[in-house]
Order: sequence, then C-alpha cells, then structure tokens
Amino acid sequence: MAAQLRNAAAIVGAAESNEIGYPKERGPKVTSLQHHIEAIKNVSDLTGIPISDIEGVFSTGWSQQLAEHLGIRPHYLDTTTVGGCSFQVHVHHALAAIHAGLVDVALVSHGQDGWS
Amino acid sequence: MVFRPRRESGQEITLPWHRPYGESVRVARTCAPRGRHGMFAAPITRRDSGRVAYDKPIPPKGLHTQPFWDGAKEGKLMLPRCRSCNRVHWYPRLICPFCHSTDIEWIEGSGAGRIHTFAVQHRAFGGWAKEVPYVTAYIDLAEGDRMLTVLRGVDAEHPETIEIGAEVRVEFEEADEDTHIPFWRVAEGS
Repeated sequence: MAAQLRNAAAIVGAAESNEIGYPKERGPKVTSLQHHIEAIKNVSDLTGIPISDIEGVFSTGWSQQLAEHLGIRPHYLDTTTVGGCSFQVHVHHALAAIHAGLVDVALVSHGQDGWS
Repeated sequence: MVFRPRRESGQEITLPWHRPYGESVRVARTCAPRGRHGMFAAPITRRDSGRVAYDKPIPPKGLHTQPFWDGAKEGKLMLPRCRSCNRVHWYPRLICPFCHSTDIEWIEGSGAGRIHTFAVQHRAFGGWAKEVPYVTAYIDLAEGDRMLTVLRGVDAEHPETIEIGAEVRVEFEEADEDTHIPFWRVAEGS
C-alpha cells in the first residue's frame, strides 16, 4: 500500500510570497493571510494551474478562511497542526486524498508574520 | 447546582467562566483575541458629552481595507471591484474571488440593497447582549455580492413582518473616531 501511495501524485510547483516584514518604511507589516494569498497566487501563476482548479486545501488551521477568501469550494480540507512538520504531513494527506480519488489538485499553504 | 471549588478557608473560587459575559476577563491567548476590543471586551467608557459609548467589538483594520474605512467615515459605502472581470466582491479580499486577478479598485456603492435572508438572534454576549432580540441579515448589494449585517428598522419580536427582497439602505454608526460601521435599514414603504 505504501509503495502505491508514493506514485500517486507529484509536487508540480512551489512559490513564496512577495515580501516579508515592513515593505514600506514603518508602514503596516505584511500579514499572515497576505503571505498565504500572495504565495498561492504566485504558485498558480508559476504552474499555470488556475486557483479555481484547486480541489483540496491543506494548512495549519487556515483552510476554511483560505477557501472563502479564494472563492473556491474544495472537496477536501485539512487543518492538521502538529508543529513545524505539519506541511510534510499535509503532503502525506494530500497524497492519500489524491490516491483515493477524492481530489486531483491539492494546495498546501503556509503564511506567518511571526518574529522568528 | 453547579459545583463551585472552594479554598481551604471555605472561600469560593470564582473561575473566569462563572463571571457574567461582558466583564473584562484575563485569559491566556488561545484562539480568539481577548483584550480591549476582543470577544470579552469590557465596555469602553468615555467622559465626553455624556454620549453613550460604543461597547461592542470594534473590527480591526487591514492594509487592504483602509479605503473602506476612509469612505465609511464620510458615510460612503466603498466596495472593491475587480478591473479584470468587473465584479464587486464582499468582504474585501487581496485577490478577486471570482477571477483571481490582483487588479482591484474601489468604487463608491449606491448604498442600496435587498434582503437575501435573515435570522433573529435571541442570545448574545458582551455589548450585543442588551440589543437582544435583534435581526442579522444577508443583504444583496445592488452592485453585487452579499454583506452580513444587523438589520435596523425591523421588529425583531415579529419576524413575520420582515420581507425577503425588501429594499434596504446603508447607514453608518460611529464606533470610534476611525471606525464607522455600516448597518442596513429597511427603507420606508417596503
């Protein structure tokens, strides 16, 4: 079973948000949501996969908000939060969802405006 | 009755959730923001002109929503519209939720809309507790998309008098100097 899962899907693109911190001199800081949305927009532009094609959203608790912000209705949502490795777990879950035929396109997203 | 823990002296220990809602409570930051403008905010008292202070939660402002709040101060309903697909969306987003373009401009809305659906709220906490019962509604904006609001000009005790599709107009209520919050009122004769 594990061997089948390995070939179920591929990561086809990755992108980052545009800027971190305070882009304007002491202006407002880039927020976590902004990081999410910018990175999602950038990976969509990079891969050529339109945001409307995203069927699964994986994040550390932002999935519901991201889906609403992006105007999409995903078939699969995941908010597994287990610390810094959560995103690898998201990839694992995405692999399982794709292998099960629940989704074809999965988005793993993270954005954080923390200090470290 | 409810079990209340006691110290050895017999004195009752009052845990935060035993206090009535609306009182300022210090809790660890877990999920929803507490503090001055958070969910359990204490009423903000002002000493100027005896005006009734706005004691309900005040929405925080994001960088991309500043044009809305600037317009609200002048009584204008500013709405975000995508230049690529010409659709207005609500709430303001960082990208258009319809076509996902980042080319968004702000237009002045007409302030007109119609009731899409509504619900009567019988339980609330904090500053909203004394307004109960009140009516929350989704308004179909004339320009497009829907806005959630508290409906004014209706009798919450008689929701059968509220009509789906009734015309409504926006009005702004001052929460503090920088924040004027839109509410919708059923227009006369509808």
